[in-house]
Amino acid sequence: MNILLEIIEIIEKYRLLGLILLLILIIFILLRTLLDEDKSNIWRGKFYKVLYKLLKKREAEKRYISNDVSGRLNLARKQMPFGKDLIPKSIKLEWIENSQGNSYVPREDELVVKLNPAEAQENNITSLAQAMVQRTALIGVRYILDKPLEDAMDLNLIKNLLSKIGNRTILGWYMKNEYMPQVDQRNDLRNWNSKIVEIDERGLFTRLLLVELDSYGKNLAGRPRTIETESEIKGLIEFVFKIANKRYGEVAPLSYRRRNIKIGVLLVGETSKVLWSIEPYINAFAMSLNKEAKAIYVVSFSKEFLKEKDEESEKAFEEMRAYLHKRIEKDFKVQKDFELAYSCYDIRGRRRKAKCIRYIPIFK
Amino acid sequence: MKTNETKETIKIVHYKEAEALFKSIVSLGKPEGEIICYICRTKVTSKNFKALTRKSGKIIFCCDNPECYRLFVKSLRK
Repeated sequence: MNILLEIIEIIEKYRLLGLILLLILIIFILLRTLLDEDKSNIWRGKFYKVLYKLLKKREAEKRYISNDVSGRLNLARKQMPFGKDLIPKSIKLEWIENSQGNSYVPREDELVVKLNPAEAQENNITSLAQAMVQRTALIGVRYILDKPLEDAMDLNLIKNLLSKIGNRTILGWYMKNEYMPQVDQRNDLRNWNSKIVEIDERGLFTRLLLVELDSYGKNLAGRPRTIETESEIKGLIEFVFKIANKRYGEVAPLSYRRRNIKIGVLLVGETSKVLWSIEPYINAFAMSLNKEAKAIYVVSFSKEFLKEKDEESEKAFEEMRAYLHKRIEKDFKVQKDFELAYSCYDIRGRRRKAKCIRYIPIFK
Repeated sequence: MKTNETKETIKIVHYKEAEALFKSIVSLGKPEGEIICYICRTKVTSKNFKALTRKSGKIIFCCDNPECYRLFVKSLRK
């Protein structure tokens, strides 16, 4: 409403120039939507939904279902934070037409899914979200994962994907009918799931754990599953879990070194410590480099409400954090792989702003 | 706008057209009575089938039990 009033105010003030600017803005928004395949699919879906409600035609229902599902899932996938890569692939839905139905033979490994009526669209979305994640995410690493661990990762990836859609009905349907029954019924899965959930709540599931697993899979490049790979992966999860579960003042290991994986993590969380000096962090970064880490993560948490309480400290904290990264890039031979800002909950359930930066050391 | 990104194609069938698809499989020589869920081995009909695929040249089906569907999709992983 406020935006509308502001627009009217601008038009009244600038008259013709205001109108032209408004027109340009509308054209820009329309072009952006049209040029984005996923957004335009969602709009097409809305259009066919109305058509289906009015005419009750099967063709309109089908177009609504496929445009809406692919638009929503592909857009949600783009919003998932996975470092530089988007791990699950986009999906393309193709109807098997009635005429084709009389002679249709699927190709080898081609998945054909029967969809429900448009009225049960949440069911269609979750079915295809499952197919999207299970068929295209974590390729190259699944064969070395324990089955319950793999299932726990899939459950949480699908949950994250559906939550990015921003529709509570869809997420609620999935949690009630798929996620919770599995967690409740399977003891083997429950333990891994609780760890993945904890890691995810600190924002380290997709930004650190999956990024490292993906990179681990690429390094292994088809080598068979061994006791060593199994233990390295379990160890990695325990390592990230200890960081995610770290309480104030507790010491958590900040480097993980095995034959096939070497990473370091720097946690920047205590305001007083950061404001005092950044040298301990610089030293810790140097130590990680000395241990030949292949990737070093700098994960910083600021207090979400510090700004309201103490604006000066918040400003100083941000300055020190920026200075720390400047120093890292100046003092060490590293390449910044990605930087992701997000918000999450800390161990005490307080909302915190966070930033996860992945550096790749350059060794001669 | 078309993008160059490779996409995972999933074939979908409308619930009202599922029967025709089912019959097409039957016409390929597989009587409906013999079609069973690849996961739980229960009888699959045009009413309760959720997914299908071809594995080693053979068409396999999955019933609409959510657990079966999950395991079925998983078994097709590339």
